Amino acid sequence: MKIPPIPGSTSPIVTQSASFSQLEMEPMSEIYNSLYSAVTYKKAAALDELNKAADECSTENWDGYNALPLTKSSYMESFEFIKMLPLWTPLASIGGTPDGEVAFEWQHGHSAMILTLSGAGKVVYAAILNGRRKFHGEEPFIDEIPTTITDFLNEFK
Amino acid sequence: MNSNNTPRPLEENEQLARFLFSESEYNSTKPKARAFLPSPHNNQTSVFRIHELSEVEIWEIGNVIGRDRDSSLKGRTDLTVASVISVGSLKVTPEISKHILHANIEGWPSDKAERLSYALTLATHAQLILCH
Repeated sequence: MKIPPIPGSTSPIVTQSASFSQLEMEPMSEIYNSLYSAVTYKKAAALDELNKAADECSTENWDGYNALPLTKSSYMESFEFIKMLPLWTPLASIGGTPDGEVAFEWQHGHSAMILTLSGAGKVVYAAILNGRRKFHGEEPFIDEIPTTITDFLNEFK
Repeated sequence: MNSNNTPRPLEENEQLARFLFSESEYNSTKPKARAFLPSPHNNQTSVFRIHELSEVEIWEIGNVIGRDRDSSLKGRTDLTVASVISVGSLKVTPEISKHILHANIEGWPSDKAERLSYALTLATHAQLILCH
């Protein structure tokens, strides 16, 4: 952007100052844009994965073993779950279960975790950490990701 | 196989195969835990006894099963009888009404979280083999 000179002055100071400010702002906006892109990319990738699972598991027998189609309530709850996941959460593998629910799975080294959402306001989960410690249970899921779940997800960062 | 068409007794070192018909049930190296979850219709996971079969024979079973179920075979995941029966209450029972080498993984708990835990453990023991 070209700054017009101050009337009656030929001093280049204002112009230099404006140029400096531009130089400062452009890298900042690049950083902002790339951070924003990274955030939206992660959420968009997870939502893409959910939509892919919904497509693939939309009809009965999608697994060749008479699985039930993915339910709308489980899809909707999973959509909300993804929106609420902390930004640092690694991408999950998302798919259907034989009884029509959405499953999220993470695997890293000798640790693995699976959780399912049925649309009933709860998260059912199981985890194996470092190949030895096993956990399973369920937590209410209303308007935030249960702390138990984020604690486990920390292991997959 | 016995001459009277009853299945031979299971041995712990026997290999079992779970045929996979959905790409969402594995990644490039491992099967997903959800691939082992039991059917909601009978609470069983269908597998085949592949002990001493050649690769060609194993894939032939998978292809036949896929055609019967109108599903395209993507791969299979192998695990031993020992690795199944080491998981909680799980057991393997031959069920030959549709195929002489067919069996079911039974004994899945009614608690959903516990079922997930069992499936996760099976997935860690299993090997993935994709169709060429």
